[in-house]
Amino acid sequence: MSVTVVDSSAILRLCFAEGDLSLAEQAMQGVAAVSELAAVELPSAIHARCHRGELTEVQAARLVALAQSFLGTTARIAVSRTVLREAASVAQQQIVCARDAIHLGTAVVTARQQRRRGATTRFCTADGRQLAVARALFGDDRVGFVPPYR
Amino acid sequence: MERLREKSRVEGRSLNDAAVAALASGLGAARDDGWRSLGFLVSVPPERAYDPAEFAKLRAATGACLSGFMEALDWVRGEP
Repeated sequence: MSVTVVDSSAILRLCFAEGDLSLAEQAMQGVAAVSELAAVELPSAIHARCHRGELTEVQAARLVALAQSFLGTTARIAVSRTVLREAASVAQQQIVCARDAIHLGTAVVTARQQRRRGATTRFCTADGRQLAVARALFGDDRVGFVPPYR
Repeated sequence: MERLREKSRVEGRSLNDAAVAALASGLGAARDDGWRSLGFLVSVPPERAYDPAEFAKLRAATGACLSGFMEALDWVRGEP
């Protein structure tokens, strides 16, 4: 069974049903792994909208609960020293921001571990800028993009 | 025991791993769909299986507009 490492952007799309979700849904039916970083990114994105007055505190609390519930269906991958080292290596190879590098580093470490078991790893993102870097690292056939519109 | 051995053989995992998965399943943990193959990489295991219908209900119950979060995530990531 193949593992899909899912970026926070794809989780967010799936969580709030934004865009074409078929690819992300497919990833979630298998083994979905997410960097622990998502546990900070998702609530931060929700609270940011609350601070801007776009959501009430009650709505924000409900949405955070929804996001946490969603994350509860995934295997969270630790931001370990190995992941950080790999993230720095990704940033050395490609122009990428630190958070994207951590998600991609997580996928690289996961892919290496799965390869030892004879299994494949895919990466799923909804972030266009991260997509190009992910394709360069893993190849087009191992990277799924969650487009913004149905 | 024979069923455990068979499960272990079919799933390509050790007998111990298969036994732990069976115990976890019995204790109400998430259906084991292979996340255990991630081994030491996992800091928090999944608590339950993904159910799209369940999440559709939860989304509807939030009573909030669920669009525009990608821009918020871009902001969180420090992207323009």
